[in-house]
This record gives sequence, C-alpha cells and structure tokens, in this order.
Amino acid sequence: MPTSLGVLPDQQAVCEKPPAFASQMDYFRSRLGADQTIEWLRKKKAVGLKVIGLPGWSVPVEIVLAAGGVPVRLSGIWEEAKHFRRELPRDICPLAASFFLGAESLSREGLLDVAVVPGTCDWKRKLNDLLAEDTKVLTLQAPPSENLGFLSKDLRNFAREIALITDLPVVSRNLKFASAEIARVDEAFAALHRLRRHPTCALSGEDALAVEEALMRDDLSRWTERCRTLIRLLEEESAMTEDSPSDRAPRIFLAGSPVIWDRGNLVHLIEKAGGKVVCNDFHSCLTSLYAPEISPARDDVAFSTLPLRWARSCFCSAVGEDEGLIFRAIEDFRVEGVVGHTYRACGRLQMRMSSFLRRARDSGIPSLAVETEGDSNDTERLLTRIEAFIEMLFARRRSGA
Amino acid sequence: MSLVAGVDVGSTTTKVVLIEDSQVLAAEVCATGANCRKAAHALLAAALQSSGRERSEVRSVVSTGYGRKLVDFADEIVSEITANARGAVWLHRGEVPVRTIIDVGGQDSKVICVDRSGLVTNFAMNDKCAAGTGRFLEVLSRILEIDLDQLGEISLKSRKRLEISSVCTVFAESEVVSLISQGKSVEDIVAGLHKSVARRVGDLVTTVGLQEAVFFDGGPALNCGLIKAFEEELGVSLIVPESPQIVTATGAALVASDSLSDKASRDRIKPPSP
Ligand code: SF4
Repeated sequence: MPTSLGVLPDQQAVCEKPPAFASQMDYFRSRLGADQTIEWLRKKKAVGLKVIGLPGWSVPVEIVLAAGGVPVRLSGIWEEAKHFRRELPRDICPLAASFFLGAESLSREGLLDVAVVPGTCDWKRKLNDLLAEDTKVLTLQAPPSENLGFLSKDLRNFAREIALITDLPVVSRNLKFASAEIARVDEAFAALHRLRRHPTCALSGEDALAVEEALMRDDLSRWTERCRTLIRLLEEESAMTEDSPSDRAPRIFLAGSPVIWDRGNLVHLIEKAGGKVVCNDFHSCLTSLYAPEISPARDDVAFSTLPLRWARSCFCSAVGEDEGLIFRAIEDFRVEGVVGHTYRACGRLQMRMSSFLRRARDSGIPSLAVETEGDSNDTERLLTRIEAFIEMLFARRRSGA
Repeated sequence: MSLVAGVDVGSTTTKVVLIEDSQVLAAEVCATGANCRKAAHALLAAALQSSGRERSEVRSVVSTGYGRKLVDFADEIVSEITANARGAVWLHRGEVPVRTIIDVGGQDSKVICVDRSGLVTNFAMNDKCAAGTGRFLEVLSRILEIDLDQLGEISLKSRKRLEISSVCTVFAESEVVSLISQGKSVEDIVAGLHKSVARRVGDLVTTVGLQEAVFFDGGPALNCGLIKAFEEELGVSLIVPESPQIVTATGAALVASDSLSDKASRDRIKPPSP
C-alpha cells in the first residue's frame, strides 16, 4: 500500500497506543452505544430516579443533580435510531437531529422524563415543536449577554421546573454537593486537555472526543474516576515516549459546529489525513481549560454564580462569541493550523466562520473552512482537502515558515 | 536526479509523466474509464515504452488525483493540490513567479495560492456541484452537439455573448435548450457558457485572493474561449502551459523526486549503527 505523504511511517509508530492506555479507552468507547445507555438508565428508573435529557455539558447540570435527576446526553451518537430521520425536516442541523433521535429513542423505551433544549439557535428552538408531541420539553432561554441578573432568575425558574419533575426541590445544600461533583468533572477534563498540550501525548483527538461523548452516558463519578486513571496512564506513557518533532503530526485546532461521533466524524478524517486534533472549542474543552476564569461554581455554589458558567458555555462554538479563548488555546497548544467546521444548516456559524478564519490567517495560522452535512457522503472530496491542508502544514514546517 | 513517475488519476483522464534530470522524458494521457488501476498500469507501460526505459529503472512513483489511492504500484500518494502547485511552479520559469494557480478539472476546480518560494499558503475547491468544472462544459457541449475541443474556437466568433444565469448544470441545460429553440446563435451561447464557468471560478479566486502571476491549467485550459473568459472575469493575463493537462502529474513526479532527495539526506545524517 502506498503511504500518504501526510503520514510518515515513523509517525505511525509513534501513534500506536500502549495496551494499558488502549484498554482504558475501551471503557469510554463502550459507553457510546445506545444499548449501554439504555441499560444504565433502566437501572436508574428501576430505583425511581427521573431521567433528564441534555444536549451536552453546556447546560447547568448542577441543577439537574441537585434536584436528584439523572443527566443523560442526548446529542451525538444515536445512529441506531436513524429510521426516525424521515420525520425530520430534510435541512435540519445534524446536531439538532441527533438530539431529536436521542430523545425519541429514550422516550420510546420509557426512559426519558424531560428533554432540556437550550434556545441558543433556530434549530434548537425548532426542536421544541418537533419533540413536543411525545416528549416533555423544557426550554432554557438563550442568555442575553452580560445580563447575569436575568439569567439567575431564568435558572431559578429552570430549577423549579426540574424539581416539579423529580419531586425534589433544589436546596442550597444539594446544590453545593452537585457543584462539587461538577467541579470534579471539570477538573478531570481540564487535566486531560492540559495533557494534550504535550507533544508526546498519545491521546488522539478522536480519543478525546470519545471521552467527551461518554460523559453523561454513565454515572458522573464513574466517568471521573476512569478519566483520572486515563490521565495517569497517559502521563506515564508520555514520559516514556521520545519526541521526534519533524515527523510529528501537525497540530490542529478544530473550531465551529460540534462533530457527531458516528456520522462522518471530522476528527477521524483529520487524523486519518495525518493531522492531530489537539484542541477544539466544543463545550468541555475550552470551558474546562480556562475554568478558573469562567466556572465560579467550583468554589461558590450560590445560584448567583451559576449564570456565568452557563452564559460562557451554552453556544455550540466560541466562534463569534468568545474568540479570545480560542486564540489563547491556539497559542497554549502550539497549534499549526485551524479547521473551521460548519454544518450547511447552521446559518449562525456560517455567518461568523469566514471572519474568524480570516483573523486566524492574519495572525499567521493557516486555516481551512470545511462545510459538511454531518454524514459520510462526499467523504473522499473532503479528505482530499484535508490531506492537502495537512501537506501544506508539513511543507511549512519543513521550510521553517 | 533519478527516474521518477507521477500518476494523476482524474475523473475524466489519467496522466503519467516520467521525469529524469529535470527533464520530462514522457507524458501520456488516456481516458480513465471504469477501471482506474488498469488505466494507470497501461499508461505507465506506454510512457516507459515511448521513453525506451524499463519499469525497474523507475526509482519512485507518486500518485495523485481522485483515484490516487487505487494506484497499487505507487510508493506514495499526494493530494492534487500539492501536486498541482509543485508542477505549476516548476513549469513556469518566467520573471514574475506564479502566485495564483487555477486548475479546472473534469469534476472539480481549485484555486491555489503559493508564496514566493512556491509553498502553498491557501486554497479553495468547488463544492459537490459540477458548475465551474470541465463537466459543466462537457454536458452542455453534448446538448449543443459540438465537440468539446471545438468550443473555444466557436466562442471566439461570438458577437453578442448571451447570459446563462443558471450555475447548476441541470438548470443550465434547460436554459441552453430554450436558447436554441429561440434561434440564438451557437457562438453566443457557448461564449455565455464560458462566462458562467469563469464567474464560478472567479468566486473561488475571490475567497483566496488574487495575486499575479496567475497560472491556468487542467484539460479545460486547452480551450481558448475559456482562457479569454477567465482573463476578462479576473482582469489579468493568464499563463497557460503548453500541455495544461499534465501539470498535476508532473508535480507528482517532482514530489517523488523530492522524497528521494529527502530520504537520501535523512540517510546521510543517520548515525552509524553500533
Ligand atoms: S451547529 Fe449551529 S444549527 Fe446546529 S445546534 Fe449548533 S448552533 Fe444550532
């Protein structure tokens, strides 16, 4: 087989995972099947707990925990349920569609008590109408910028509504415990992402995505424990690996619409083309990394401190919202190229992406705009562009540009 | 420099170029057909025969193009963007270095920016649609019952170029049928089609930014009417090589040669084994 110029043989050897690390990844990957999630939720329902469906880590999960609910991630990986797709509008955003499919699958099994939809874009707002028939939906309003007082009120309403479902009011003591749990998850995330700054870190972007996607598909405490073990193994591994800078895969920051694990996963394509996604602006990554500034829930648990975390993490991407964080990460992670991804259906990010990528280019970071429909159609053409981009980064490195 | 080969398996045609000592020894082009692998094998054999060389003398083969991964005798593969840029920069030896490359293929169009040293700095490719590609002209030439390679000459006779407003091949097809039934001149229709392709490619140029000198290659660069339309659209003169179809395959051969030199220098600096 010919080798792609993007992936040199030496580099392929560097990418091979040691057994201990790989077996730890098996846990995270095993959580990504619908069957495992369903089995886990059945056990929760059997002891009378209420299941609260969330789009991801970008909502105030503390409130759900404080009300005794079980938070489950709905978006991302419900390929098994694709037969529902025919009921969806053809031009729906794939991320919103995956949320819908997750909610429908769990509702059908009698495992979902409510789906929480943040009203941060048109497609998420439309989910409200699409889901309303069989699934109870709670909408979280998009936070008006800077108005934290208003947000605080909105979150109190949210807590009241969740409490009506779980029958457990959100009291200060519970919120304190819940916030401590969230802080442990954030800390594990931050430690994991910080490791990715290291040139010899064996964690691929796809591994990191699997870890993120597995969150809220099992108990948070178990996920945190597994994540800590993974971090320990990675630290041991990177201490043993020799660095070979010239052959190392170009370091990529992936910005824009969050990718969907099992539908034409862009992170997989970038790494197949010889790059390495070292950082992305999906919820967990930037928000947990720069947590001391943006997650006051860590040391203070009053309602008044929650809005800030919610306000900074509720959008799908920091592009056009908080680009300072992205540029900070680009520097911290010694990023060599930025891939800006938008779904064709995402008007919100499409409008903002080209100016963001221009700013990246103006600051000397090569960038590539990629538009997808979130499926695996047209993968070859996409791969050609990504391969060309990676080759360009290798050539730049060789020339010392 | 050793004998190296570049194989460009495009959607419409496959090209093979043999290079040795900075000289193109042979260049062959054939229709890709349904079996890319077979086409590539046959073409390499033809190129070797025309240059009087043996397969065993070829030190390295690099494949590129949409069927690049199917060339089972290639030592390396490279994207057509990298290969095309390498070929264009090497082929143009004018005073003003190439900074923008327009490559119109059978199925896609690319605009590539390179810096003064020939390094790719940015590029844009058309999306899934055939508008702005060779395919667009191929489909519409069939409707007009004109040979593809006559389109250029015919369009240069146009007196009043017509506007083809649809960029989509399917809609443009009905638009052309309707213009024919209105008795419009074929020359004016063809000039309108060239303008449509030029507008579409012009949009790609705008995304990456135009810098002179501008190089134009790919099979459609053999079409003098298209060259004229591009020059009008972009407001610059284009550099068109003598054989625009083989630029990407030439670039692939040069990449093969670069890899051999890289490997040789890596071997040179390797510490002696204990
Ligand atoms: S990717 Fe865009 S359209 Fe889709 S959910 Fe996010 S913001 Fe909405």
